[in-house]
Amino acid sequence: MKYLKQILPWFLTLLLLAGMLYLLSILTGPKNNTQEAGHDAWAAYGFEAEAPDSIDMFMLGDSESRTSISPMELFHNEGITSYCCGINSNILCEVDDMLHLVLKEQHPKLIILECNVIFSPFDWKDALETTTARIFPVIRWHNRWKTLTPEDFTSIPDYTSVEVRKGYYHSTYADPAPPFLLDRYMEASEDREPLDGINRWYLKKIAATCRKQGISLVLMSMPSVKNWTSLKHNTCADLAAELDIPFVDLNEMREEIPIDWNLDTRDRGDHLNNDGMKKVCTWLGPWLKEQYALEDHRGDPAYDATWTDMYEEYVEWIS
Amino acid sequence: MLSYCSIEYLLVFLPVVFLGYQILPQTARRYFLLAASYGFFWYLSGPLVVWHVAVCLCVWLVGLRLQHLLDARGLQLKEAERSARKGIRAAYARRMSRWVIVAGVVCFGILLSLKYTPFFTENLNSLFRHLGLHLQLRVPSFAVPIGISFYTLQAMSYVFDVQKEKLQAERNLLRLTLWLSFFPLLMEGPIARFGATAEQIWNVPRIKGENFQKGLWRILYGVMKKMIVADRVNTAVELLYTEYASYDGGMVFLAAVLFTVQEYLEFSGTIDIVIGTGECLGIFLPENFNQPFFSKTISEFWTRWHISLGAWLKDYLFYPLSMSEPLKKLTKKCRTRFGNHYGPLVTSSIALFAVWLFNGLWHGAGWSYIFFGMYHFALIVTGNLLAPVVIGFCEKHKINRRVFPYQLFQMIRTAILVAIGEMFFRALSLKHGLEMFMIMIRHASVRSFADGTWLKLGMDLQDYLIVAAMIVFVFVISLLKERGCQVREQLYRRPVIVRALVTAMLISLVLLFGAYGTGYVPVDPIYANF
Repeated sequence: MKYLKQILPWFLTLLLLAGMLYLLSILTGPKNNTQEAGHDAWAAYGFEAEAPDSIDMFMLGDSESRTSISPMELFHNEGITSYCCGINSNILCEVDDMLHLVLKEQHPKLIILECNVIFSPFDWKDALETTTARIFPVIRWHNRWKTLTPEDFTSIPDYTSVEVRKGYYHSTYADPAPPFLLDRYMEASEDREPLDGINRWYLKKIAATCRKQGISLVLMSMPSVKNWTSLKHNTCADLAAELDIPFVDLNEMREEIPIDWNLDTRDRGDHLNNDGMKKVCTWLGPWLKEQYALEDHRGDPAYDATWTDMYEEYVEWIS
Repeated sequence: MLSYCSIEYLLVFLPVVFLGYQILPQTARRYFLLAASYGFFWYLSGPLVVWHVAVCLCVWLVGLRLQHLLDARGLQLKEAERSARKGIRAAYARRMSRWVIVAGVVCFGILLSLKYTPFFTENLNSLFRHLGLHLQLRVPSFAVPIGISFYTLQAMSYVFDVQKEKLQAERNLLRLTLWLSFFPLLMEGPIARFGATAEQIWNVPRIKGENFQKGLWRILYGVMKKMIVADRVNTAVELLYTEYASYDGGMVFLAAVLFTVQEYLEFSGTIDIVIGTGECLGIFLPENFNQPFFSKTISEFWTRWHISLGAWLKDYLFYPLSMSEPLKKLTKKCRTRFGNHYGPLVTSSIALFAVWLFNGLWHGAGWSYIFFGMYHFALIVTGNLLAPVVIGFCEKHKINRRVFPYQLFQMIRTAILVAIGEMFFRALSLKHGLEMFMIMIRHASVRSFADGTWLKLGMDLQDYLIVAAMIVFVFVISLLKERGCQVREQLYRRPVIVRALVTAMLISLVLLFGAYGTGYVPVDPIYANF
């Protein structure tokens, strides 16, 4: 009885706290996956507005993933339904969180993990914040108290805005890569890029989740003279061998994907622009079909509204 | 830098300490606290912890030596003739002073060498240049252990107290070391006295529910101050103090006010966390703030702000200087020449000058800090000089100095003077501080408030509103405290559900309104570098 009397106040405190955080999470969470609703990564979360079980492939990673592959391009060329969930300056614990969100309503056949994110540094505090924010989203959205509207008090989050570009970030701008970067781009080396233990742990966790769900996981590095090196390539090759998953380095496929670093990059060799993306997709589509037998959904009426009919709008966007 | 408000401290270090503390038997708890304190110190300062160990060893040995001399003096005095006692006392006082000087040389020597050598060397080089000498010394750079200025003063207070027979020297080195390294006190004080705290820290009780609950509330109150206000205004403060030349006087005044708010809420918030941590463990540490912005004069302000530093300076610098033979003689002379008010003022001003020079330098190795000290010295001396004039003026014009409007005027005047002092304190250098002051005077304007410049400092209207709301909250709590209401005591008497609701609400408020996540960089503990 004495023990119970000691525990009760703290149990009650935790219960009330959980209740308050739950309510605050509903209050502060954006009510839709749009910029107007206050979502800071509305494009990446647009898959939540797609029909359940309608997307066969997801691209996870940072900005490299969302600027190199356009799902609409893959759909138009090969009929593959996919989505880019890349977020700028992303970290692996966030990717893991995104994967769990994806698997709530989608059962993709393939996940492409863009490799640059593997090396982005983070620590246990970031991981803790991500995990806590998954349980109580107020941790992530707390700053929205500044822009709360009456609607926020009367509705619950419901993501319904179908994204035309399916997470792809388009740019028609061309800013050539500087010669000094080109000179040392993929310089041969036997060394390895060091990888923090926590990054390795999360990568294994992502691989295990995919394995458990029967999803094929591919490590793929997108072309980038600024971010990619032979050292990262070597580390990724080791990781892929260790986890028994394929690793495809597009930086090494200069014949198959002839990126012109004077024309196909929007920011001096960091990210690709539309022209660069098209080169990647031209090679990637057939390769995906060949390797993973992804279904061709063109002509399927279930995909008319959110894919076929939206292509024209997409073309307008990216031009 | 790790702060008492960080995830590492609040969610990892503290729970581990509380848990370990609770499950260990009492005799083991003190050693556990010692290990935790040094672990904390090591995490912050690495191998620089050796300087702390050196200070502990030094004051322990000097304390023992002083006690030995005191005991020997006692024996001699017992046996000595009455006429010989004065001589014995003087002889022992000289011998003890020598040992106090040894401790001072070691403790302040480490502090001066690590923290002030670059400043003194730069100034020497500057002097050489002005004298046309072709001699330039290499400016060294040393890593400084965390909280060195705090634990140095704390260590020396122990030596002085043993010398003055206020306490018996501690024979147990570990007990002294635990008092000097107790982790909540390490970074920003308060500068605790051995007599008031060492026993509590050594003979620690089991954690009690009441202490823990009240301590947790105090911690949460401190976290709110730091995360909702101090971290939020940081972007604006950084911008205004680096780009002040692009703004008018109104914005420079805003810079002074914002930094004063930031510093008060960061420092007092940290102290809340420190005292709250102690309370959770059943250790009651000294208060460091007593509603400073209710002060009517600058003198009063310094009895309410950073109380432990003010008390240290008063006890170990001001009084010994004022009571020294030369100053006593001078007081006598001045009293006959300038009267009973102004006479003692002359000598107390000499002691005050030393206090404020020390205070300024203690805060940092820079001319802006020395200026900060001198600024407050000038304000206090001016206040003392003008006191009879003001009283006379009020009596002549029948102004009642006890009515609220007059006292409010005094409080606002003091707060403005404090804010101006803080502007020099925060400025990147004394030159910058003076330039900011000149802008504030010469380009005084409210245009920046009218044209929306104040909303382009990394803080939007909502940020200002939440800062204002939090200031009102702190003001209400301060007012209740000022009127003798023990808020936490009152709350603790409420039913369990109310207590639980308060705790949950405080945590929720921090998580909702705290300035963390994207777009915010938490401010480093302002006083931890001192």
